[in-house]
Amino acid sequence: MAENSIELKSERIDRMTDEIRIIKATRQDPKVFGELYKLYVEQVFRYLFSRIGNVHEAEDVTAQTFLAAFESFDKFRQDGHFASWLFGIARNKAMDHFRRPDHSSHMDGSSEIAVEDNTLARMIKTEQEEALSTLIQALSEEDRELLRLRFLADMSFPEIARFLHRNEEAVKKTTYRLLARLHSQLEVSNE
Amino acid sequence: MNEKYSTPQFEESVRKSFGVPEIRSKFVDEVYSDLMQQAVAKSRKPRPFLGLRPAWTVALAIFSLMIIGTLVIGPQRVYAEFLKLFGYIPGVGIVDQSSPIRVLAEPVSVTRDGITVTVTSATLTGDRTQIVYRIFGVPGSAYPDREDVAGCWSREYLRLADGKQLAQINYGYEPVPMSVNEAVFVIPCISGTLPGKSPENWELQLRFVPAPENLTVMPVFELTPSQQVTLTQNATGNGTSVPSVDNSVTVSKVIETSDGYILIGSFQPQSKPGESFQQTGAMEIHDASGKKVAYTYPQDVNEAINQEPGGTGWAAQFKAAGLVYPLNINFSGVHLLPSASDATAQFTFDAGSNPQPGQVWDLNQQIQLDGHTLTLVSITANSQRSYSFNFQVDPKVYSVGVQIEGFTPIGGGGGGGGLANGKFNTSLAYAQLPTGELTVDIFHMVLIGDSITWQGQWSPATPRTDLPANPTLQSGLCLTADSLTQLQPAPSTVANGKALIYEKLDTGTWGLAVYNLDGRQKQVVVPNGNWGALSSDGSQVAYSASDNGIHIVDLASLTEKVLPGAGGFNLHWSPDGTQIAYVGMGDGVINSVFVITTDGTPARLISDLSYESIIGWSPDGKLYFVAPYTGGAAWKVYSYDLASGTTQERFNIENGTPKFLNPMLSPDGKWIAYRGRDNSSLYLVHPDGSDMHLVLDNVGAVGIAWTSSGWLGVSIGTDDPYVQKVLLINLDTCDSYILNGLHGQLEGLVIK
Repeated sequence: MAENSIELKSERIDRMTDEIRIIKATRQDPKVFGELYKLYVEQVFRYLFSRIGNVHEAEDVTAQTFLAAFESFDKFRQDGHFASWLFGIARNKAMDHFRRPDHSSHMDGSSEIAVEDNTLARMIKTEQEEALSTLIQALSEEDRELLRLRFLADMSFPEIARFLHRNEEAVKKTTYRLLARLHSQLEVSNE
Repeated sequence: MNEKYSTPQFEESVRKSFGVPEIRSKFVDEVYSDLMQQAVAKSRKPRPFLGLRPAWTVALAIFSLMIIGTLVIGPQRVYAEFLKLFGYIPGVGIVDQSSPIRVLAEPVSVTRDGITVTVTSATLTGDRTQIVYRIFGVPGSAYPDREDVAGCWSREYLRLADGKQLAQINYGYEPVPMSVNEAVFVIPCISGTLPGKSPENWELQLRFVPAPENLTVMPVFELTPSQQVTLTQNATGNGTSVPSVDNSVTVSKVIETSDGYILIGSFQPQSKPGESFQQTGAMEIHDASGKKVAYTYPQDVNEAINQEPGGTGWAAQFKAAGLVYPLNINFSGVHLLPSASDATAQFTFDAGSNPQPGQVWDLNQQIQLDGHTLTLVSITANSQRSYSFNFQVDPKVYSVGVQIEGFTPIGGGGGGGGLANGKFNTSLAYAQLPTGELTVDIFHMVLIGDSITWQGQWSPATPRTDLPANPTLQSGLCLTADSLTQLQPAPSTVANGKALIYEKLDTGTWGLAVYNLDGRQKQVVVPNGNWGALSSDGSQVAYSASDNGIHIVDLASLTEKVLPGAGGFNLHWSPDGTQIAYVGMGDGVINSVFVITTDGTPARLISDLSYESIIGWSPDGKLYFVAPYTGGAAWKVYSYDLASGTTQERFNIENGTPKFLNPMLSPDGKWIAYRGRDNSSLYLVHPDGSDMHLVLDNVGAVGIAWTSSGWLGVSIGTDDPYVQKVLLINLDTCDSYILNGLHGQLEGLVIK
């Protein structure tokens, strides 16, 4: 309980401290951007896959996101809030993706596309994960986006608040309330 | 808000529930390569030397040796020889026993500024050093209250006499050389704390000795894939089944424990191209007589599970007395099939000129699609410029696609999940929310196909002769998973009272309801709230509202009042009903114990520790609570005397779950009940720490409530995640009953 929350906080702090160091170094040597890429590529892919629902297209948009971030890195003037900036690019790229005519007919829900296009291994979830998945699907898009940003993009509360242009405390409370609700409903299947 | 839910386990479940696959390493490398090419073009600076770190050097060396070994003597033999070196130590996991095992000579503690760090155990093997330590007494104020404020993050390590440092590796630290029997365990700072807020540079001098002869190290037996047989059964439309043999469920390792086995294996359904499945239930094990085998998940073999090649790793620990072999290990699921036709349906709805976030259009629009009935129950506008479409579909439909004609969405999700009572929700987000009369297309239906069962079989190589066929229950143990099926309904003389139940209500929301113990006279008290507490006379319910406020409902009048200034959860009424203890946030404390009087006088802080749970009020005016250790799953029990304002440290709970301990003090103050380390069993202990014993073994215990007449009520999980069973147990006699009319989590109990 206590230790878990603290560990999580600590992991994010590790990442943040590394990140500031890397951002400063990237300004001196563009090749160091590769370290920022390594730090974030999984989160960006997870976030984009959850929105797009197709591995190949999510990879394509992930690559576009990092190439765009690399090209415009000179415009990123801050030392912090890199995640908010990067995921802003990712979100815009996802929007561009869906604006393409050949993708409009695919907007039928991420999990369906996943059913068709992806590996069997990913289809198989534990009973608890399946129950959670069902509960999450029943959430509003706003709540789902919050979970995506927190647990797939692995963003901190200040980063999410900045990204969503919302108050940090409100984001935090909403997230914990969401978790409490999901956890309560899953108390049994957790056992 | 409730930070207790922010556990890595639960967050991992949330993460996994999105079904995002692992990122392909080839893709990662390709993009990295592209980026580096661009970077080189952007910079003329020389490329820095990419030196190999020691960990990679070791990994590459091992990998090279395995390749050479494989070429020389073949893959199966390499693997078998490799595994022969390993043994299982309960609580530690699977360890390398190629060299003598050593342990910590004695626990070591250091206390500074009220904070105590204790190394409780160490296990030294040829491949790693496992150190178990815990910290107690770090005040909440030592941690940053914002995540963008960096706390300490330096990793702890072992320092040898020659100054060499042994860093963390997976599941431990680098191995201590056999010739070295002392090391200093260094904690540069307490993880996550702010500079200057807690002591730094902790050093604990450790001494290692050969493991005692009675150290339990169980052999780990490897099974080769060729020994596996999985029977896959597809139920066809006419009810017959089509069995086929494949390798979907495999058992790769077997550990003989003192009373049974641990099996470790992998689940990877074999499929043809284009086939899709959805798993629909947890793994089940049955013996050859058809008896369901109760198992627990052994946390200490996580490393082995993660190393399972392909598929999803699984593990099960179970007692073997009386089992008939072979055991059948089952996973169940359904096929998912796209609808045969490209049928679409269409309808219109008027969103108006200015749809507002939260606005709901109750449509109950029936839609026929390719012979299936779908009901679009409602559409909701969300603040993220999206519409949610809430469906109720017939049992054969898994999901459908939705789009609004003329508008290109920029995001959205959902759509699957028709397996859950036919309800699902899918949403579409837009740069600008479409307004006015909208035409909605329904298309691309996915159907639920035949059910399928993957069944692996396993038998021990040699029968166990050390296990009794009919073991007797240990002293104090009242119920086991096996004996649950024999429970009788509670007689009316016992089932005479009220229960407060947290459950999914008919409205679809989760809330609190009061029932008579026979399940009649349901009274929904809170349509949307949790953490309920029933006053000892059964006349009032306190609960934690969605705004975190504490509310009290009078059951006779259903009037509700809010306790001003109080916010939190884990509510406990005082015996006389004049006070409520709760866990809340305050200046410098995170989830600490407060007490407030029900007439609304300001709440007072009882403890400045953090992440506490309340146990309950004793008849002599004490409030019992627990605080967790940081690291190491243990809890420290305290009592607080409300009259004198003094706190007394009592004892440690070492065998409780770190997840949801749910400790409950009996009204007579004689027993504390709490959930065990396996998240399933229930233990009792006296408030002075004596007579700690198991009372319910692996029954799936969740909710706990006592009555003043001495009954212990427990709600237990079932195969249906939305349903629990409620039991009554008399601890003097172990007489136990089931309350068949109750189906949720027990939050309060009164028996007349």
